[in-house]
Amino acid sequence: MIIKLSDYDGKYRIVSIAKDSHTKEMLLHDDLEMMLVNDHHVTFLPEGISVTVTENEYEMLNNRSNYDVLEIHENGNAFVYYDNDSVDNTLFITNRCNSNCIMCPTAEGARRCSDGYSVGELISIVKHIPDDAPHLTITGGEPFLIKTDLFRLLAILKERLPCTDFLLLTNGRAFCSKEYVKLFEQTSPSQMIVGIPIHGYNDATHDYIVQADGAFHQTFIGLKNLLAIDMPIELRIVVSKLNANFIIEIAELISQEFRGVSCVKIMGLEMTGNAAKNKDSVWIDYPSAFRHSQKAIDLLIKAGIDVGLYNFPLCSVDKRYWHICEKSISDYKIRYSSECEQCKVKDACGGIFAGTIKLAEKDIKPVEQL
Amino acid sequence: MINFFNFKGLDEHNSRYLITNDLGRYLFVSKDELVSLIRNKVDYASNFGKIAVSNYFCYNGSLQAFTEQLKPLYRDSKNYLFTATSLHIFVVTNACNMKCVYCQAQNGKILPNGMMSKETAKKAVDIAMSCPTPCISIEFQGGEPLINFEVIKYIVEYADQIAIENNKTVEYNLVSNLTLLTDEIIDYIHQHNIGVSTSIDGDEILHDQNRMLRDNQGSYQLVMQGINRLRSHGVEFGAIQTTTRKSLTKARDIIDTYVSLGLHSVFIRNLTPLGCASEHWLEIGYSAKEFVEFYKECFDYILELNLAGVDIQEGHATLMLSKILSGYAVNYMELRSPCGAGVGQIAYYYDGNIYTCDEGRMLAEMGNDAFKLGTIDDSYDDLMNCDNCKAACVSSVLESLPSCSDCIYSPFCGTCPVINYALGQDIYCHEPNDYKCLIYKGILDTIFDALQVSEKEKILKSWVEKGE
Repeated sequence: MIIKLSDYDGKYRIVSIAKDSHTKEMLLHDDLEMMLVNDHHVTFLPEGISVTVTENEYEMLNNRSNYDVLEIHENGNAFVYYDNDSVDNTLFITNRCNSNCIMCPTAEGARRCSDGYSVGELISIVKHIPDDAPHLTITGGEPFLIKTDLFRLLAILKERLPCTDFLLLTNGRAFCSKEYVKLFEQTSPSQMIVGIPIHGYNDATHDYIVQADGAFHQTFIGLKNLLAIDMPIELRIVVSKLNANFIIEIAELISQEFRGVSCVKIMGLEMTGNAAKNKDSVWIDYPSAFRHSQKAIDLLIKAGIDVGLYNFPLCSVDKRYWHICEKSISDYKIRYSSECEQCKVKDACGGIFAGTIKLAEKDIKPVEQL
Repeated sequence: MINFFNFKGLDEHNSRYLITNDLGRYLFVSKDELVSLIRNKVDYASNFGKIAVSNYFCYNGSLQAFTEQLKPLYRDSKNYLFTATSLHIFVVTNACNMKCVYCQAQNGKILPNGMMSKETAKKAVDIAMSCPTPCISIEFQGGEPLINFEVIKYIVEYADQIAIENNKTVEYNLVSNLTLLTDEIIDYIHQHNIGVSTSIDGDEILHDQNRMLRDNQGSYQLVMQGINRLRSHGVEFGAIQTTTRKSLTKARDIIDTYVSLGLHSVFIRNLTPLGCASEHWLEIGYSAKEFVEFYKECFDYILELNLAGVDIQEGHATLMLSKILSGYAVNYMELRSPCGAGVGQIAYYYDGNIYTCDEGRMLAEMGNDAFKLGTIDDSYDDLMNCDNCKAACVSSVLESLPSCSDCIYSPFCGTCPVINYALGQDIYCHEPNDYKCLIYKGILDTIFDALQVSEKEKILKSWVEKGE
């Protein structure tokens, strides 16, 4: 969510929103810079600098919540970094990645060029996040590209947000280093789950999709190392045309080698970025993706591993598996088709990705009877 | 679409009904409203429709979405299932300097006076601390536990040491007649933050008729001295009341005694037909009906006092109201489904035997060890996995018991397999409306009667809020 400020003084700022005097006092007490939005005035405190805003800009700012964290760039673009009203907040480390998955929803260009944040900027942002934040996802690109700086950030999160649940999304390759695992164990907040994707069941099948040699080997060792320190792990399998034929082999691998993981998420495609570019080799419709996964789901559950289905509309999934489908798509990316108005279970369905609805539309079948 | 629910007529004309569902939500409804619900013809736009939906009696959407909504609520209503055994009862001795007429902890025959040794205590604490929960409660019982104060100290020190090493928290509670307090003991209690519970049955006359020392002298004065000494050292305590036949005519006096002692909660308890109580039943016992009438009198008087600004609550009611008004089940071992046997509480007897609960060890004192889990040489896993533990759990799951599953009060109630076994020789109760059932029904009738009157409902709500 970006709010563009037309009349801005060009200074890079990280501020918390305050809409009333109580919040203002709390923020002043914690020594945090804020943007006071009140009575049609916008002021930076404690600097004491007023900002001229249009009606529209004021309304957008006023729609924010107390304690929202805004990152305002020199050009006046204010990015809502933390939304206090949402349980779905993200700490975005960098767009860069040391993998280049064929079906990555982020375009390769974006990943190569952007620089992301310095850890100093991230730590400044984190200082503004209120300590009753229920959940934070730490992601990228690949967060470990900032190397040991990531541990500095984790240590600050551990200290400042002891009640928050965290999900770290990473390809897990960095954990093949025992030193990194040790540092992670020391600095990681106590309520941490590590989300790691697995695309194949051996070097050949996994590395082909990731387009990086040695990735499978590193991820394999990394997973073993994390399990050895009892770190909760969420394994993610993105089902595409590239791996639909061996989802069950991946499940077998998980049940044999990684049985201690907390859960496995079977994920439907988001067809943007690389995925869109490589559509012909990547795209598989959601009903087919589910059918290719069904036996794998059964196998994992029999092995005592929790399974969740992410990003699948209910009509693409066998009714008996609806109870493991989750409303996983971020609010602003959810779409339904016009067909969905007739559907009896629309209220329980998480919809379809904005970037994928055009491809998926033809398979949507409203559920008529229960 | 409608969800599952139970209902009961509230008056002779059956013009008003009480309905409850699995989540413990309740509504008072008219006959027409009940019929519309049963026939699945609820008008969702009407006031009744909106209230019925918001209390999960029916829903206007897909079953799928409704089920998703219910999940966290079910978890709340059964939250005690998500923790390992939290209450660890240490019966440090069966010796006692008193001989209360209804004592459950002895069978009236003279048992050898046993004291828990440090070796036994150490092994018991090891088991308790191996329990996979970060926070446990250790409760000292007896006989009179202060007779074995040395071992109490040992247990506290040893448990604290393990707690620090393993990042756990231990809370301590002492159930005592308060007649053997010394300055050293009071200091220790204060220093280690040990909670204290005692029995106060009413005014001096009533209390002394029930609870006398071994030489037949009354204990009331000693208890009062004990209370004063505790308070002057900054130690607060709780008290429970036990009802005998003599109490039945003294409802108001009992409550007045509690208020005059500055207490804010009185737990009106019926007799458990175990131990001395069952031996003396003809003298001190009563029917469920008689107890319920007595309870109602206590309850009504307590509400009267509340209306006059006095801060006093009834114990059973406060526990049940937490579930009734907020859907959150307090982990009280007798009012859960399954009951607390083994999975909620364990009793470590002085001789090293381990039982499902307090009642289980009392039954053993009467000569029947049907509810023994094992000994201190067993592991926590062994104790939980044994057949006796499973049997106690299975037989107390209200949702599976024929009369209970259809009862409007099952979300708030509980059954005790030990008492069922003691009275009816079967862990399953064969008689619907037996003694305990009628008593719980009577208590809940009293509570729900009050909830229909708005000024009383307001008071009851404040009892739950205070606990938060």
